[in-house]
Amino acid sequence: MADCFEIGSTLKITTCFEQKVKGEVLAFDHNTKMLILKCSSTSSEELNDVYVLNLSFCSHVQVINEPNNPVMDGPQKLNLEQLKIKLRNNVDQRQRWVKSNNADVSTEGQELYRAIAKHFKNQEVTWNGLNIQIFDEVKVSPPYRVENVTANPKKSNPKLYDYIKKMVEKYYETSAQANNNPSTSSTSSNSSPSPVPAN
Amino acid sequence: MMNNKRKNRTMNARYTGGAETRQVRGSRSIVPQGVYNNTYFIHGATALVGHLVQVHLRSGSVYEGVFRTFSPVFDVALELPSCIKSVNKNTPEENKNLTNCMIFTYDNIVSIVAKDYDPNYVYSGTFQTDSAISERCNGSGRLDEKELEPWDASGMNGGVDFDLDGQNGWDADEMFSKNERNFGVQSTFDDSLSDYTVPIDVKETAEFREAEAKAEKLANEIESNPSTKDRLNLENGDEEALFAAVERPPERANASVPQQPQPPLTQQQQTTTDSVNNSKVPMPVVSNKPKSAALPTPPGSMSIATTTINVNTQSSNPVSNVSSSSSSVSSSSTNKSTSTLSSGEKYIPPQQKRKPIPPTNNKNMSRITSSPNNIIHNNSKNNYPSGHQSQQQNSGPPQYAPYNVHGSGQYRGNVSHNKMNNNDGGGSGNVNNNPKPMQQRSVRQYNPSMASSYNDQQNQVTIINQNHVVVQSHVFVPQTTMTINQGQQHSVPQQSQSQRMPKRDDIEGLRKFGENFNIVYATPGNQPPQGAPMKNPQPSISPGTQQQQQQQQPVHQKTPQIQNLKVHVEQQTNTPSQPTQQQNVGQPEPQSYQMQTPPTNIDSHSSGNPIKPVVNATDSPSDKSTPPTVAKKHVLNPAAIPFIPRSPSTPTQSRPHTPQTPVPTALPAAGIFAGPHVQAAQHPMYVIQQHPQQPFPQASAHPGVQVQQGRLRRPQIATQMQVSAAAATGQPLLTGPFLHYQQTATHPSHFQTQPYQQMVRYYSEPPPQPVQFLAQTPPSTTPSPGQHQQFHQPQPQPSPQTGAPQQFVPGGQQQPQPTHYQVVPVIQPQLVSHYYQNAAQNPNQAQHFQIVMPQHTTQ
Repeated sequence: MADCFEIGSTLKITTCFEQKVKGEVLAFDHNTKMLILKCSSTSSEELNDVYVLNLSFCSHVQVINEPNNPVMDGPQKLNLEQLKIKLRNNVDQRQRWVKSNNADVSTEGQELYRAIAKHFKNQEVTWNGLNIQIFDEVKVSPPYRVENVTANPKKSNPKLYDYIKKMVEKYYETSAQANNNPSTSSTSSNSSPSPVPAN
Repeated sequence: MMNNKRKNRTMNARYTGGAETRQVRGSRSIVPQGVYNNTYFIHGATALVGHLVQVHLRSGSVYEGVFRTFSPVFDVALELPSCIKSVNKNTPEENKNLTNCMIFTYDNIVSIVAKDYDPNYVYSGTFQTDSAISERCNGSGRLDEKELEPWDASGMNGGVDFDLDGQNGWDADEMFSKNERNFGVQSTFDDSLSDYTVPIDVKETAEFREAEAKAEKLANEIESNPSTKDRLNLENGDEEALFAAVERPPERANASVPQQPQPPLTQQQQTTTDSVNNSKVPMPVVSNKPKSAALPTPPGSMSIATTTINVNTQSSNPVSNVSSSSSSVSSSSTNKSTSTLSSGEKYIPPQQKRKPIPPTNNKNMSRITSSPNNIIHNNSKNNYPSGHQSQQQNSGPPQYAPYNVHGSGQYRGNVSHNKMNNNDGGGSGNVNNNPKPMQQRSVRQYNPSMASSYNDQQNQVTIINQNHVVVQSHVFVPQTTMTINQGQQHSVPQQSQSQRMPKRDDIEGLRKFGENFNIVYATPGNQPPQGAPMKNPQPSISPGTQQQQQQQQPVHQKTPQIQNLKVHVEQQTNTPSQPTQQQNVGQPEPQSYQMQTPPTNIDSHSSGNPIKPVVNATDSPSDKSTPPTVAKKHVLNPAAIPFIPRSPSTPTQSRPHTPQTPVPTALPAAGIFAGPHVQAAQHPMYVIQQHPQQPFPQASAHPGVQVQQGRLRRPQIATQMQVSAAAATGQPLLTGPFLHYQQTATHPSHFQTQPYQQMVRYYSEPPPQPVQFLAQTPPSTTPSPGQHQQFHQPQPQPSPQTGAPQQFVPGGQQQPQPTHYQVVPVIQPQLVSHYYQNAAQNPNQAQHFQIVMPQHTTQ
């Protein structure tokens, strides 16, 4: 299996895009030259970033460590049910995210939309023009600030209104903290998915 | 990009199927299973399913989507992909055209990045079983696992008393007093339990007395009702005894003997090393102590029994038998296989150990449970079929035939007489001791028991008688060894040594002996007939041989036994080598061994049928098996006596038996076999060997006892097998199919396993055999004993069969009717071949004959 890279060994790989990856070998497929690396995550110690690298497009491969322990008797059994659930949830979330993409809305607005949509079912949050519409009761209008949250007078639901306001408020708090993180689009895309992976 | 997406869309249907769907692209050569063959890779990749990943393409574009699945060549499908970095700078547009799924070929992928992946998620579940949790903990995940240290109690200052023998907990009064003392709590406990019951208000009135008397009467009626007792027994009785898969040896002394035979059976069937070990133990005993060894050996290997018998005969009775058999063999050598009933019978007796055993084997087969016997039978059968038969038949049959005929007549006529005769001939005392039931029970009294069983089964016994003789010797051995395991071991070793075929023969013989002892003494005549049928069965013999082989294997497993066997074998082999029997490398050789040894024995025996008895006596004294041995001797001797005029072999036979009996290891097995024996007992009619077992039950009228005897016999056989069978019977058997087996026989495990198989096969075969039997029986039947025995055996068998152990059960069930038939044919061929072989081999055959004779007398 791992003709070249023993499972458990640590590699440092540079891709053709000069992306450097350092991690532990989870698996390697000789025919496809695909290597699966487990790298420490930047966001959490408990999480990993998993890289599937095509060694055909890697410019440099360096073996840092040989595995300390011989490979255990086999990988753990996967909980396929969990995987299915994860897939379904992520796809749903992904659909929300896709839905949130509104070319006419600022990325900030889109992110807010996703942040809100995350707490509701698929059809409960929609774009109404440039406004984020929740249950036809609450809408958030550009520029999507807390003060822009308004309730539908016909169907006033104080609770939902307050809830959305807090949600928006919290979103800006967290986004302010994450301000340091550049890259709008990628970040935005990451922000939505990240919760999913974390589960 | 657009194009790609659209293509991908078209591909979606396939990919959405999941990883299993194969991507077929003309431009790419696809390895069917590709990465799917890589356990770790598919594991690692599958773990990413459902995760949001970014796919960096060779073009520099980066797509983000939910990792859905991958193909064998690791083309990747993303759900709801979006281009987050496009070389074309058409990102918005692409996003608008977001597809549901995109497939990226592996050769376009530079990297796939799954951020913030929780490695534990895929292993966790909404609900985890303990095993799932522990699986994770014990799996790869934990590198920091503590090193476990042994707990050292020395560090504790005696603070903890782990004594569990003391009082367990507090006495109620103790608790009350302590509570009262320490906490001032006064218990309200009332012994009369007045809160729950109402005390009877005793009044001195006529009315009350009347009611009391009425109640008492009712109680008596209910309690005296048999059904009440039955129910009480159901509730409080020994369920274990009723429903246990393993039959316990009967309480009788015989039972112990049966146990020994049983062990052989179990050994054969189970071929468990343990049993082997036990048998080994007995075997050593045998080697060391002829008597004890003989005892073990006989029980150990029913199949061995033949061999063992031979050995025994060599050592003690066998010789006499052999001598007689030799003479008889010479006369009826040609007849062996197809020899007329009379000749067949005669042959059978000599062969009894082998040929008779074969019939017994058939019976055993039917009995199945008595794996040893069956094995033996099988072996014998195999031997016969394999060409050994021819040799055996040539030489053996004549001898056997005479014996059988005579024996059958004698045995049948005087089952009790046989016992008596046996006692007279071999250990007169023992024989006397063995009334039919007694004989069965007291393995030592194998002959008697055999005779008794035979008497019941009678004619079947004829062949069986010979077998029984062997069996008896085996049985004796088992008694000594007592433990089934030993018996098995013995049987196995013997078989192994003698080569499976020989062993089987021996076993069969032993079984037969056992049967004879138990019931079958009379059967000798039948056995001869069976022997004739056996020829027909010979084809079936192959299964038998297999069983024998199995048995032999067990023997081999039982190295100790084997050693003993080896000793015996060596002797036998030496003698055999001299005889032409060696021709049949596998079976013939064993036979030859047996024959040879028997002759030597015979010489001594012939001179000293008394000697045989002596040997038996010694054996019996030394071990429980000894009585059986004695009985065998007696049987042999009795047979010998009648036969003596014809041939001195009977004495030799007795001796071989004794050696076998020493095998005591078989004895343990006997207990195990008991179950099988029961079946065997049922089968006995059909299979001589089985008959021995059956005879016991019949004779004792207690299936269990018979079974035990049968077991004992089997063990004995096994032991014998180990001893002589390895050398004598084993080799002959081996010559044919068994050659390998014999070799393997040296390997106990193999043998054991094989025996089982063989047993099974036999079972299947049994049905056909019955027919053969019938046919054979007629020839043999001419010698009344043979037919009778067969008939009788079938009857007895059914009853015992039910009791038979698992192994036996199959056989036993089958045995009752079909199996019997099958068994008989098999046995007969085996017997015949054995007989012939024996005849050629002299001692064994002679012994058989002698044995047969006793049986007849008993009957």
